[in-house]
This record gives sequence, C-alpha cells and structure tokens, in this order.
Amino acid sequence: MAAKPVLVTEPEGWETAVWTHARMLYRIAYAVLRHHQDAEDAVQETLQRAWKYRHRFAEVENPAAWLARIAWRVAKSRRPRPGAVSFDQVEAVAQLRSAGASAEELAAHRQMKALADQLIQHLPAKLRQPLVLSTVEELSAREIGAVLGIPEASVRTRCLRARRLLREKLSAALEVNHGTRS
Amino acid sequence: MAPDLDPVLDPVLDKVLAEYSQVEPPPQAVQAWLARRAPPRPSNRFLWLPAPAWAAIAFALLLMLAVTWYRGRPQANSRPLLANERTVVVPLDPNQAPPLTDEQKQLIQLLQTDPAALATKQPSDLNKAKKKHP
Repeated sequence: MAAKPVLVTEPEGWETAVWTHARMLYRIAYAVLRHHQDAEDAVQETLQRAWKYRHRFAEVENPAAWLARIAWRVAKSRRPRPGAVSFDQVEAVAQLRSAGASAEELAAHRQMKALADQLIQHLPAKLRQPLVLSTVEELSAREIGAVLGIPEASVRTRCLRARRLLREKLSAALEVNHGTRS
Repeated sequence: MAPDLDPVLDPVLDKVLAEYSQVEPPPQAVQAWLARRAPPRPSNRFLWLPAPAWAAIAFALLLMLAVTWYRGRPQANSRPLLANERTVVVPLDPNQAPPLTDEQKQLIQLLQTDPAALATKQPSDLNKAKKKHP
C-alpha cells in the first residue's frame, strides 16, 4: 500500500517545507537587512504569512520562488538598522585567523568587506536588488526574476551592470585611499 | 566579457559577493520559527470581537448619549414668550420719584434754553454746552 503524501498544509508537511527553505529565506532577509536578529524576525514574519496562505503554497508552481518573494517583501518593508555591525564579519575573521592569516591580511579583508558593503548599499536600487539576490546561492536567475517581477534576461543584464559599476567604484575608492593602484 | 575583466579587482569582487549573504540561520532559529506558526494574538480578547459587535456597541453608546442629552436640555415651553407676558404700566408718583442728579438737571436746563439746537448737536457739543450752562 502506497504511503499517503504529506501535504504542506498539514503540520508535518509544513515542517519539512520550512526545514527545506529556511536557509534560503534567512539569507534573503540577511542580504537586505545585514543584521542577524533582524533577519531572524523577518523570516519569522515570512513563515507566518506563508502559513496563513498555505493553501496557495500547495498550488504554486515554484514554492521556493513564492517563499522567496514573501521574504523579500517582508525584509524590504523593514528598515535596516543604520550602521548595523554584522556578525558575519567577526565570523569571517575568525575563519581567516584559523586558516593562518596574518594580522595585516585580516585587517585588509575586513576593510575590503566593509568598503564593498557600503558600495553595494549605494548602488541604484534597480541594480542593487538583483545583485544582492544573486548572492543567495539557492536562487537562480529565473527565481530572482520571479521575486522582482522582471524577466530572467533583465536579471542577468542588471547583475552585470551592477558588477561593472561596483568595480569602477571600488577601483576609484582604492585609488583615493592608496594612491595609484599597481 | 574578457576585456572587461580586471585581474586584481574581479577576484576581490568575486570573493566579497560570494560572502555577502553566506550566512547560516542560528541552530535554534528554525525550531523557534516552527513553534510560532501563527502570529501571537493579543491577550485582550475583546479586540477580536467581530465588526458587527463593535458596531452594535457604538450604536448603543450613541443612543445613550442622545437620550441623556435630550433629557438634560432646557424645556422649550417652560417659560412664556416675551410677547405673551403681561405688562402692567404703573403711573409714576412724583412724590416717590428718586431725586435728579446734577447732570440730569443740567440737561433739563439746556433743553429749556435751546431745545432746537439739541437735534443737531454731537455728544461733544453737548458737553461744551453743559460747561457754558453749569
């Protein structure tokens, strides 16, 4: 006798779905808010909304994209904390230290991350949004397009433009800080 | 795309973007999310009364206010109209009349001496005339 499939509208099915997509949702929220506690709260709200409309969740073609869209909207509706210190920098530094990085390398890495963070935040929203979502490895260009409501080709084009602009700004910033780059 | 590549900056960018959102949710977070599926309800259950109940309460309050106001307002027929009041004219008894003040006496004297001039005079002229005829 075949086992009855567990629906996502039932508690067991819902639990499986949450475990499957939790990391992606957390990363989307974190990519927008850049703060762990805020990201946790945003995911909580995302899942509560998704549970409320779980009958749709069972019907949608791509549940991951549907959840990602909710997480994106929830995170965007929350105002990021000004100058929030993200703990991932601390974690990254700890990882580098354990890998035997020197103090200079650690400092340079932290500075570079902080600089890139600032530059990304100052990109135009049209370019920043697909770029930020593209850093979430669980999301494909098609899913990013579904989240933002734009074609997949536009996602790729905007990511390329964002990256080019980011590189120009990074280059300019490094030249200002260190004189001419070798 | 090859001519666009920067041998120094592109690897840096690759690394920064790869690490941008490579975070893991805290171990207890997923359990917490699962435990709280629905948003917490406020403790005050009255807030969740259905809309018709709120409408009925509001209507009852308005009705009570209207009744209170209607009972408390002054009655329209409690006092007779001025036109309906009887006026009794009592003739003045010269013996019981109050004595005239100095000003009144001066005015009477002025009227006796030049009554026609009073019609065209201003109050300031009247004062001057009073000074002429103390």
